[in-house]
Amino acid sequence: MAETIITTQEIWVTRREEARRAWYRFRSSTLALVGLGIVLGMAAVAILAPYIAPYPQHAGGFVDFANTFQPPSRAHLFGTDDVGRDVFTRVLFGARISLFTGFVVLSIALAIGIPLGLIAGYWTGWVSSLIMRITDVFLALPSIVLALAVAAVLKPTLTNAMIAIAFTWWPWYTRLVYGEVLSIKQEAFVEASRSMGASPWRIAFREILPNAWSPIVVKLTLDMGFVILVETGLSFLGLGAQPPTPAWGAMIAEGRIYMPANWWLATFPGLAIFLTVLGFNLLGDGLRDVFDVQIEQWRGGA
Amino acid sequence: MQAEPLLEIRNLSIHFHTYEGRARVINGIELVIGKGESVALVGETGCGKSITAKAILGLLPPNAEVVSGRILFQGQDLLRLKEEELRRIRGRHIAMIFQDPSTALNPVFTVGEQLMDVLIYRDTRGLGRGKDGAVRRHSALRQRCLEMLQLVRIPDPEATMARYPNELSGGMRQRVLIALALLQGPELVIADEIGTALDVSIQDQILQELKELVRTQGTSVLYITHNLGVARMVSDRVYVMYAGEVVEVAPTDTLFRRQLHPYAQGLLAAVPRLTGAIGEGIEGRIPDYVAPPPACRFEPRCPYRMPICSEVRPPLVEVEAGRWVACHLYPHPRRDEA
Repeated sequence: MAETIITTQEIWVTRREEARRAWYRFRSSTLALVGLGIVLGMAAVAILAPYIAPYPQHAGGFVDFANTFQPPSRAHLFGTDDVGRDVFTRVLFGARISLFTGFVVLSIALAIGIPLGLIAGYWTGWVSSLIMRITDVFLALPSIVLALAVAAVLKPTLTNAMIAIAFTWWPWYTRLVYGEVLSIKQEAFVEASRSMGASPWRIAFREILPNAWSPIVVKLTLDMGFVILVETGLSFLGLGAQPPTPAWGAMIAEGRIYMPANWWLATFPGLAIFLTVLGFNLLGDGLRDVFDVQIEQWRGGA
Repeated sequence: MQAEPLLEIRNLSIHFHTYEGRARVINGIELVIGKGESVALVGETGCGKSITAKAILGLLPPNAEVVSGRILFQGQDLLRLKEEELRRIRGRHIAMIFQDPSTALNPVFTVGEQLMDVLIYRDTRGLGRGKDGAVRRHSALRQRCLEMLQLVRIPDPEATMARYPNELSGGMRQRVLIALALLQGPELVIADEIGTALDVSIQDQILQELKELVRTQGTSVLYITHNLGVARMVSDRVYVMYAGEVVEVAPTDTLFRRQLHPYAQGLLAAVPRLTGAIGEGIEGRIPDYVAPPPACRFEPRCPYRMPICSEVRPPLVEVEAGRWVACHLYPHPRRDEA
C-alpha cells in the first residue's frame, strides 16, 4: 500500500521479496519439501533412466535364463525377475511411463475441462446447463469403473489406457473452473473490461481464467498421484501397458504369482508407486498452503 | 446549449422484470450532452443514474428491457446496434470510469499489462499486424501508456507500469482507471460515482485533475453522482433525477443559486453545512417502481402538492433559457394531449 515506493529497481526488490516469502511459506512445511524432493527425484530418474540404469537393455523383452529369480544383491539391487531381467532397471524405466501417463492424461483433461468450464460458467443458458449436466453424469460414475469400461472396449495398449483415464478425468476440471468462473465473473473488473469493448471470449480466457490458475495448479499436482495410481491399476488388470513394457502395474501383475518366495518382483514396483503418489500428494498440499486456495477434496478409492 | 450535441437520450424508458412485477425504473428521460461539455446526473441512490449510464454502453442486466426511446451518439442510435458494433464503440468512443478502484482492475496483471492490453487489442482487432512492425509499434504503444499515466499525474509511470493493482494506493488506482478510460481517446467518458471510495481530499484532487484533463482533451463527460458538491465542482450543466425521471435541468451556477423543482430544493437543503443547523432532508423515500405514483412521481413527498399533481404527469418544459423543469408549479404552454 505504500505510495512512496517509486523506482523500477525497488519493484524488483519487492518481487524478489514476494518470491522469498512464498518459498518461506512452502519451506516451513517439512512434508512439502519432502514431496518436492521425491517429485524432483522421480522426474530426474524418468529423464535419466537410460543413463543411470545398470542394465538398460533389460527394459524391454530381454531374456537371460541363467539369471532368473536372483534375490537383491550388489549386482542386482532389486533382484531379477522370471526371465532374468534386472528389476531395478525396470523400475527406473517405469518412472518414465508413469510420469508420462500422468502428464498426458492431465493435459487432455485440462484441454477439455477448462474450455468447457469457462463456457458453462461465463455464458448462462441451455449450453451451460447441458455441459454441466453431462459433467455431473460423468462425476456420478466411479472413475475407475468408467476407465475400465473404456479400456475394455478399446485395445489394451498404454495409449488407450491414457485415453480411458483422460475420458474420466476432465469433468473434475470443468467443475473446478466452472465454480471459479461463477465467482470471478461477478468482480467489477469483468464489467470494466466489458465497458472497454472486450469480447466475451477475451473476457473468459484472458481476464477470468488467469484468476483461476492457483486452484488448478494445486489440483493438477494432487491429481498426478491419482492418475498414476489409476494407470497402474489398469496395467495391473492387463488393460494398460502390455508386457514386456516396464510399467509398474504390469510388473506387479507379473510378479505377484511368484509371491511370497520371490517377493522382490512385485514389492519394488509397488514401493515406487507408493513413493511417487506420496510425493505428489505432499507437494500438492504444500502448494495449497502457499497459494492459500480451497479446493474440494474428493475420491475415496481411486 | 451552444455546442453541437454528442449524445442525446430521447424519451428513454427501461423496465425491469422482477419477482414483484414490472418495475418501471427509467421513465421517459431526456438528456443531451454537447461536444466538450461536462454534465452531471444527480440524484439519490436508487433513482436510476447508474442504469442510465449502463444503458448508454449497452451493459444492462439481462432482466432489463428498453421499452421506448433512443440513445443517439454522433447521430447513431446505440439501442439499435448489434453487440459487435457496440463493442467497437465501447472504450474507443465511450469509456467508463468505475467507482471502486480497488475492484475494477484485474488483480493478476500489472498496470502496464492492462494498459498495453487495451491498446494491443484495439490495434489487432481491425488491422493486421506486420511481423517487423510489431516491435516498433509495441514501443510506440508503451510510450502512449506512459504519456497517459503522466497525464493523470502518476509520479513515476515507468515503475507504476510494473506494479500490480494491490501495490498501489486507492488514489493511484483511481488515476490508473482514469488513464485506462482515456487511453483510447474516447469522445465521451462516463464517470460513475468517481472517487466516492476515496478520502475526501484525494477525491477533490482527482476530480480537479480530471476536470482539467478533459477540458484540455476536449472530451465530454457524464458525471454520475449523488454528491452535489462534486456536481458543482466539475460540471457545466446539471440534470437532477428523481425516481427514474429527469425533474430539472439547469446550468450548474444557476441551479446552485436557485432551484425550481421542489425535489431539487429539498436535495440542496439536505446537504449538511459547516455553518447553521443540519438540513431537514426530504420526508419519505423513493417510491416503489412496480406501482409508482400515477402522475408526478414526487407528489407523495412534495410539500407543494396540488390536486393536479396526482392526475397529470408534469412534462419537462423550458421555463427560462436553458432551464427545464418538470413541475406543475411553473406555468407552461398548455398541451393538448395529456
